[in-house]
Amino acid sequence: MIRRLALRRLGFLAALLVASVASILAHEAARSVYPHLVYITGWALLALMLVLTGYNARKKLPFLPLLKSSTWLQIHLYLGLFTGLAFILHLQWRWPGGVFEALLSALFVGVTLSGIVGWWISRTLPKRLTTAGGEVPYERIPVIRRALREEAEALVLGAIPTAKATTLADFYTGRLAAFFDGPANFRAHALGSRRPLATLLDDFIEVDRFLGPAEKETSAKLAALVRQKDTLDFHRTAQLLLKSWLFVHIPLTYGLLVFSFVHIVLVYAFSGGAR
Amino acid sequence: MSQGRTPSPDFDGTRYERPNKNWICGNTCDGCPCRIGPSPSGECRATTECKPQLVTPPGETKGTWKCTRPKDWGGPCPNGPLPDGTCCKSVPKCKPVRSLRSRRGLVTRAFVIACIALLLIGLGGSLRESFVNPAPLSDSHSSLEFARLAARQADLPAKEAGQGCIACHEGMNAPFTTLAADAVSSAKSGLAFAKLPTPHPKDFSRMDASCVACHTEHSFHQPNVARDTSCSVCHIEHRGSGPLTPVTSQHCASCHSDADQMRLAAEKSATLPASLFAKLSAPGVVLHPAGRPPGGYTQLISSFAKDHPEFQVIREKQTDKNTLKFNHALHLSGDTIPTLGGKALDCASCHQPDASGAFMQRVTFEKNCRACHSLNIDETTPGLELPHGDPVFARAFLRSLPTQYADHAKRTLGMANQREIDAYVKEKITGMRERTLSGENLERSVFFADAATGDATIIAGRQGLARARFAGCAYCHEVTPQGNAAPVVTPPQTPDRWMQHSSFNHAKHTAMSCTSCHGAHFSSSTADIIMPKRQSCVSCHSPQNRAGDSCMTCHTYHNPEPAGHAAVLEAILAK
Repeated sequence: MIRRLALRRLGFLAALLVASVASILAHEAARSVYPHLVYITGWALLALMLVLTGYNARKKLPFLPLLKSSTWLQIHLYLGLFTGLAFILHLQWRWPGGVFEALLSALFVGVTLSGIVGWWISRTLPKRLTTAGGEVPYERIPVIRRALREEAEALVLGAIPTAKATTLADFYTGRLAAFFDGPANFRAHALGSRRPLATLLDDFIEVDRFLGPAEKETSAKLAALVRQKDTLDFHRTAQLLLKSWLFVHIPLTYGLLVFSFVHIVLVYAFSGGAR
Repeated sequence: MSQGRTPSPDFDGTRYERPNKNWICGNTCDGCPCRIGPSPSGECRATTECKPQLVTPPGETKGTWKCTRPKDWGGPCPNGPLPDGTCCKSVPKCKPVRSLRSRRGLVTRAFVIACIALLLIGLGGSLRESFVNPAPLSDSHSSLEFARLAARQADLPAKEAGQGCIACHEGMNAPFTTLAADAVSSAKSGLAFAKLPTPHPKDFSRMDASCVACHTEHSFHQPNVARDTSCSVCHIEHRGSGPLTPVTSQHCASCHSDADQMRLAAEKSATLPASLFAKLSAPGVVLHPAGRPPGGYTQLISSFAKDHPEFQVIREKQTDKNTLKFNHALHLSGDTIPTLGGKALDCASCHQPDASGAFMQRVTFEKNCRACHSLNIDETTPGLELPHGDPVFARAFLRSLPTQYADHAKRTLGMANQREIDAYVKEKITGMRERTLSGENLERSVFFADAATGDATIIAGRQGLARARFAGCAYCHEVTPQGNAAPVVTPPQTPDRWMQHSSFNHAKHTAMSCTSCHGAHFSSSTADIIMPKRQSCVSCHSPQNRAGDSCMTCHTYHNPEPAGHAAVLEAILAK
């Protein structure tokens, strides 16, 4: 399976490379011969953009027998990279100087870069999620978090009559209540840092010196819950990142389409030199 | 993250908020969403935990309300329904929140609306010109003067013409719907899909008419051009401030390396009268009559260094029709040539650049020849010289020789005594008569003696100590006898320009010696045209070397339209 995926990726990469080199050579050769080349590359670019946008529509129409979604994704990724090259060829290797065209180009660059970032996130975070374990649907995370909190609170409350002391309860109130109450350490999880968890677990070691044997047992269970909650927070962070890059990619895509439509109208309306 | 892989937590896999829902329960973030969830329009539907059911056992009429709370919510509650049949466990109301997907859609819609608003602001009103301008214009098309000119042409008040975009883009101030209609019309005509992959320059167009409104006489290239080319093919605007983007050789090659275009041009050329191709030049400038090749200048050329044909004067082995007899090689390297001011003759002795330095001044007898070539017909009377330029004057001079000697005695020798003058004249005339025997002989030797028969051959004996002795008019000129009338001396006609279809600037080539291009040392005949060969230019003007090899280095695209061009074309079309 992995070998097949690698082969498929290699095939797409080779196709991308060949298409890119061929496009550059053909474009440079045709540049001095075809005065309308910029219109041809423009329409090609629009067609590519529409195909890329079509992936979103394809996801909404799963019943249609139009290739597998994973194949569409692969096509979307490599065609997206090729579209970047088509964009450069359409601009004829120069950055536009006008306000409208600069905005249009910025939108295109934004879509492309957000796509690349999304691609990178989609390639790296799932591996980290698998390594971390504790798979859970994103929408179910609040319920599980609540269950963990309730379990932690029950443990702490249950330890008070046994120990006849509130040391562990105080530790929970002062140090762990906020942690269990909601999502925590988003930035640290996004950056792959384990420092917040390590600090919390160090605090457990500190407080253990003041606990009796029964409380220590409860403390160990509580530490296990902290680890579970930390994993849950990591899942929330990673899954949120996996979803949130689309908050940039998709709006920019539709904005780009709007600008592209106006661009076509303006180009054709002001193309007196080509009539 | 935990140490090692953490097992998945326990949760009810059948119950969670589906990601495709637009609204989720407001209590979800607290981990306790209600069972029913919000309505599709985002309203909370929470009421009670169950809907009690009235159970009426057989034989009873009243019946009992039973709790119907499902098992996964804890099963029937201990208190049971209230007497009126309502559930005792009411669910607190929440404020439903949008799902991530719904929020993404909202952000997308908001962004699209923002884009449309930005476009409306940019395209509407006074900002449009700056907003849609793809890049700054060249200096000449972005000045205030240009805007004023545009306003005048559009018959608008200056303030309404804005930055002058209207000069080229008629629809600049039109509503967007008009622009859209214009775009559709353009897409159906000149920019139709089928026409886009046409490997020819764009046709002359509406916008080009705007260009030639100011740039008169710039719409014409050659009478045999098969298809006119739009100004914007070569002169690309909106490429930043400064001068317009330089025209490149590729622009020329787009036609001149196109076999179809050149074939059509050659065919058209054959149908047009030669007079239409006459090269116009500045008044007084003499062009070498190179003649036009039968097919015109329609050879396929992709670049100067690669396949530009040999220059016409060299290729066709053309000759200089000038009747003046001149030997470059002799003057430059002949042992018999005297020095001039102690210096051997070189090219600059005769050829001096004009004020611009681009071309050479015309060589004249007075400036360049007289210093060596004396018109003195009597060696014993230095200073007495024939008039140059008109054979009638020369003959009159010869026929009034006694008067000329007397005048010479008075003016040059300062004689005042008439008897002394008469004696001087008599002595001179006697000497002349002894040498020439008669006036007819004298006239014949003056006019018709040439290099073979005249005295010039003895210049060599003078060892450069004096000026060359006058040999006879025919030594340099073509002299035709006219019976009793004065002979005709064909005026020398040295062309000022040898290659009329190209320009050259000597001032840019001063680092080179003249003879590195002009083979004057090897030319002994006036008929030799000692212009450089193409290869001589290519040795510097090629991509491999430093000098540029753009077509525009030597050629100019624009020409003034020849008189009658339109009428001739109409006549041909009518035929």
